[in-house]
Amino acid sequence: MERIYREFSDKVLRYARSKISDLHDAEDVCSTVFLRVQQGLPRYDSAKASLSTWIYSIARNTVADFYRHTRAVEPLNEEIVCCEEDGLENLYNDETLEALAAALESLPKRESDIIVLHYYSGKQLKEIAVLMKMSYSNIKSLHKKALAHLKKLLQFRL
Amino acid sequence: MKNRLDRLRGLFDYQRFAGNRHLAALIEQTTTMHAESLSDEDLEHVSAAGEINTARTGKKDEECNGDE
Repeated sequence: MERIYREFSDKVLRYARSKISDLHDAEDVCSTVFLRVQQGLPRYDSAKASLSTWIYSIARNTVADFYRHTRAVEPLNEEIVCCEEDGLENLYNDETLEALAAALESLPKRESDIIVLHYYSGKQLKEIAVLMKMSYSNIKSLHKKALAHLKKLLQFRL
Repeated sequence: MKNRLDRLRGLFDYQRFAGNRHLAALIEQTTTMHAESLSDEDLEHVSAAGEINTARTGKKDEECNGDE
């Protein structure tokens, strides 16, 4: 467990910080993730998911639980859904991220910017139009082209 | 189609955890370049039809060319 903590604590905290602006809340979520990792370790099956993907799925669910909890809408969902169960194990690995980076690099700059701003930063196409000083219809058209290019470049992954 | 977009969104989410250096550099480059925050007034300049009102913003709209 100590080895796992050493290897993944930075990743889990980085993930939590990217989702939760308050540092203390992010650290609390991080602690909960490792508690869940410790509790779930006896049931972890390396044949179903890599350790990294498994811990990521716990981090993702813990962040989702944090938001559910703080909005006081429903009780915590303690069930940990593994990426393997939603068929994402083959997608979530460094090789695919590397392929995505290479694909983005090969796109025209404006297209890759739209992809990053929309799918990573979560900005709406309308906001991107303002940021990039382009018309909304041009952004929509470039977005469509960018997706078509990405589909070709990442056909085995997306 | 929706499935593919969800997977793309999911992949970028996984990047927040995995921190692939190559992809992180590209993201950093883009987000730094477009770091300007948007005010409600900025968004008002985008008409219902989705066109930026350049007369109000004073910003010349770029044409969609040179990307093919």
